[in-house]
Amino acid sequence: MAYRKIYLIFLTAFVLTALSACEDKWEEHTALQDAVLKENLLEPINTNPNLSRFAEYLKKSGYDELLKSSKLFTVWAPTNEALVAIDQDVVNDPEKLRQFVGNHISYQQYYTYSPNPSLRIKAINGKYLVWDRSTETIEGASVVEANMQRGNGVLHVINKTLEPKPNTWEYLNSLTVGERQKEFINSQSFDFFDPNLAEQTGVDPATGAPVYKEGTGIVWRNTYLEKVRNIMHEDSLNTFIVLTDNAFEQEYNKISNFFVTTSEDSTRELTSWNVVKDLAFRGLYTPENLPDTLVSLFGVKVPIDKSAIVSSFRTSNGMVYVMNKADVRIKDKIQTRIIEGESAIRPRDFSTDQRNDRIHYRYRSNASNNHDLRVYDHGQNSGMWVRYQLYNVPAGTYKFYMKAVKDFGTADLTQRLAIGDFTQTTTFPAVTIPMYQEEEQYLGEYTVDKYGKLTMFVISNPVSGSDLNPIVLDYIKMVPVL
Amino acid sequence: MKKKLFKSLRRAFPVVLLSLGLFSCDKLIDVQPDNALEQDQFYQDKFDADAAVIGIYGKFLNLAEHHIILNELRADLMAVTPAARESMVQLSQHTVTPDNVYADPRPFYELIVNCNDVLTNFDRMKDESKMSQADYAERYSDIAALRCWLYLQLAIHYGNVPYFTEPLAKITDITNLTLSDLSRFDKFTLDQMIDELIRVMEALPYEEQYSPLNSLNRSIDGYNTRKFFINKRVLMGDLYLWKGEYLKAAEQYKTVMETPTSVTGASNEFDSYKIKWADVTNHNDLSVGYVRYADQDVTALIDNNTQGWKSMFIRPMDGLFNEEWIWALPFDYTFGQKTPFVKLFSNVGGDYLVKPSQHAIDLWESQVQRNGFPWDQRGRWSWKMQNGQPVVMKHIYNFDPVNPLQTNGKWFLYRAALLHLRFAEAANRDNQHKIAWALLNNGGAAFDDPDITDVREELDTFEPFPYNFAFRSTNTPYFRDIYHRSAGIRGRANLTYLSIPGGISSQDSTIYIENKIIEEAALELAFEGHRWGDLVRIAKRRNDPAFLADKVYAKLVKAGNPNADAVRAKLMHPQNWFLPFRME
Repeated sequence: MAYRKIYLIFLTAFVLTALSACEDKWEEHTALQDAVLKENLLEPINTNPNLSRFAEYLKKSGYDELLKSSKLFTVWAPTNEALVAIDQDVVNDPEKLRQFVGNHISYQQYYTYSPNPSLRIKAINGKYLVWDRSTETIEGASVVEANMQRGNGVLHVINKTLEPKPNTWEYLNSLTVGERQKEFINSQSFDFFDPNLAEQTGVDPATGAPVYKEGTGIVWRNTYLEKVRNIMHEDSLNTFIVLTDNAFEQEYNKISNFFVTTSEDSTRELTSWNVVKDLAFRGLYTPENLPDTLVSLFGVKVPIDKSAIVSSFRTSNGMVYVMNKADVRIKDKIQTRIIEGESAIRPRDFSTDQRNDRIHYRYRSNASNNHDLRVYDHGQNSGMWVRYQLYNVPAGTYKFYMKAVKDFGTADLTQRLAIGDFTQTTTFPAVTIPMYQEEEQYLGEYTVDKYGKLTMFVISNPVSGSDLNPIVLDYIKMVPVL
Repeated sequence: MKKKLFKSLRRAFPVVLLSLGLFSCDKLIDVQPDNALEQDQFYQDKFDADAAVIGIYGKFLNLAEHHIILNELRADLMAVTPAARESMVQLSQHTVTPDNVYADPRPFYELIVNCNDVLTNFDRMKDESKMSQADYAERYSDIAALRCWLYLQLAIHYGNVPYFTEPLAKITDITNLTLSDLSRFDKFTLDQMIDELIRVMEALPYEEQYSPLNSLNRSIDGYNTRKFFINKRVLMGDLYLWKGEYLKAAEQYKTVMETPTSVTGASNEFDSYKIKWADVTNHNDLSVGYVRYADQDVTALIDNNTQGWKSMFIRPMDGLFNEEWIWALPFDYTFGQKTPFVKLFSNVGGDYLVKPSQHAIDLWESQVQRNGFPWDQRGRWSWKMQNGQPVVMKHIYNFDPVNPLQTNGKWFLYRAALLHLRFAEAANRDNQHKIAWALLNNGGAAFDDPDITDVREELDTFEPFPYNFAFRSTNTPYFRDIYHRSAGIRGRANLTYLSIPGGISSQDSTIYIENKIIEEAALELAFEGHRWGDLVRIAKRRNDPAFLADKVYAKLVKAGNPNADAVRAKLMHPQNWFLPFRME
């Protein structure tokens, strides 16, 4: 009897244990305790009556679907009052609306305590938003209700809309002043055909070349954006000067005679290019921290007269100043040029490729760039030459100097510089430079009549004897006469 | 009947079983291992002895890291990186605590105990006529000399260390060697150790390298073993140099300089260990050289893995290698060996723990080449900038980060340039300034007297052994003296020659020349594991601790170490030159 009782007790205990085991204690432990975290970001926006307009635009722009997804977002939702003033053009243009709404959403979660002291946050439309902790604003808007955490991100309610700013390129094109500059920069645009992007429809039976569908594979490009600075790019900050037409004219006339070529068109093109190439700067210079001189990407100093600023505008990727004067000094624009002796390439730039072991790129601590060139014991008794080819040389008169330190042997150094043609002896006669002379030797003046390529030669003394006919060259210096 | 039989079987069965069990015990317990030998089965003939020698050197390879770190990081040419371990930082700034791994001399003693065991067994083999007297003499002397080298290193770094030559076979496991095991032995100071080691070395039955027909001289897996074994004469020379017996030291070094070392036996007496001149046409040399006629051209530097000074750290053990290297051991990954140097030095594939000191870099950059370029190319080959960090390259040229498992390399222990500098150090102290200066500078050219026209009257030291050097190379009369290709250490490195300031006394010039020899050793031999010994030896000889302290100070100051002054003050007391001796 007692046995049976014990059996029953055991059975009961077993069944109870088994039943209780059905509840997963661990799952309970890890389960989300906060019900709101099961919601996505769209739900609090849709349920908050004060955000109904924003909810409507989200739906209209299609971004509501994005906010249901499982990525992480930060949403800065403007209140209904803030959205009252919105331009109806924006609301009615789907593309503009998408830009506008996209400017209020970013990937990743940012809380009010995230910026320290400030953050540049990339919104999903590609523009950057500045969130400043000290003023507690994002792009000038204050947070009304902060840090509402949901399953896929965080929501802040703000009291102003975040209008997408134009970038510098867009702003330049919207300007009504600075027409010449705008026109020139736009004239640098061209359509480029990229076969990788084009749709191939077949193969030309005659030539075997691919045939592409008309109108595909065309890429818009702009030389100014590629060679000076891409002011379209949202990721880097820049400062940009727009000259009024008068100021542009002034700068243009100042330098146009240095860009004389064979045609007027190309002269205009070159001169304009040389005016605008120095008007973009790396980094953000706001009016508060604007220095009195900026250095362009080509090393040219540009004086900034604050009284000449007509207007300024903060774009999404920098600052634009419209100015009625930017008086760049000619000597900063047309710079002294130094041609290093060691820049000649062996054997390409020498009169013979049979004496390569006699062409020496020497290390000399007293030399410019620590190196010079020596051609020694070359045996070319009628003269050996080395050639230097220069490109983009502005027209005008230059003073020529030569530095060559002969620190070997016993004889002084005699050699000659020729422009254009190595047989030409009239421009500069042969010079004799005393041994160990560290000073530059003045050779004389020469006028370059057209902008473009300039070829020059250094020719050895046409005599025999390794100590009498070497070439030594640290550098040639061309100083423009202005 | 049947039942009865069964019954008796049943009774007998346990007895049979039991007796079977008892018999089998005998063999069951005493099974002979298939792949190992019992101690009394080993040491049966000279090939067993060869295996023991190879085994000792195989284990010796494990000391490479200790050797380089102790001798370089404690001195002035090598510095720690931010990644270095605390133990290395302590070594570098001389604040070694007893728990530092480098304060543990056990790696040295483990090998010493092995050597003692091998030597005891060699004695037994000789007594039991298992090895001929000649075979015994060569092998015994080799291992005994290696043991002397280990003791010298111990004494240089730890100062007062136990010295014993017993095999300690009773100690069951030498990896558990403790200080108390060694405490019963006498401790020797550095001076006492040098005396004892000289006594041992002088008593060795054999002083040369293994004779050409010895079975240890052979090619194993593509490596010729000739340079694996310690050179007893350079060790003796070093010991005499420590002792201050300069003539005896010079005699030993000079004998090595003139050892023919060719594999084939053909004479290369002009090239081997002579610091040979540059091969200006083909550049098959160990010099700092430029394309002929283009020595003024920075782009004409001979800079590849098979020619020039750099190649001695890269090339296989070929003819040119053998002209320079006296003692070097390979690490070959195909045998599971791994060079420890990649881990120490490389910043691609290694841990980048140590680097060249700024002090060393400045020393190289303050030299002037004979073409006027203001640097020492040996420096630019000893280390280089790699990904913006200065990296010691000498030991890791054979490592290719693309094949990180091919951890090949060599442990470089002794070479001709070191031999010449050590000879010069001895000669200089023995008042033979001119030949010392010539070997350091421009070799035979120093004895070319423009006032003498008869070549028989010049290009010769006209001194007796060991200072007899003849440098003539003329056709009429025909001379090819054996040192005629000697270029001098600085000559081979394409550096300008030094000159002794005028008007200084003989005493002062001895010091001046010695300073320059030690400086040249830094330029030529940096990171090869000789520096700390050089500094201790000279400081001790001159009784001038500042010689050592100032150099370490210079390294620390240039590294911005705030303790530099304190370290200098500490090193002004010679007892602080030694590491704490720890064993537990």
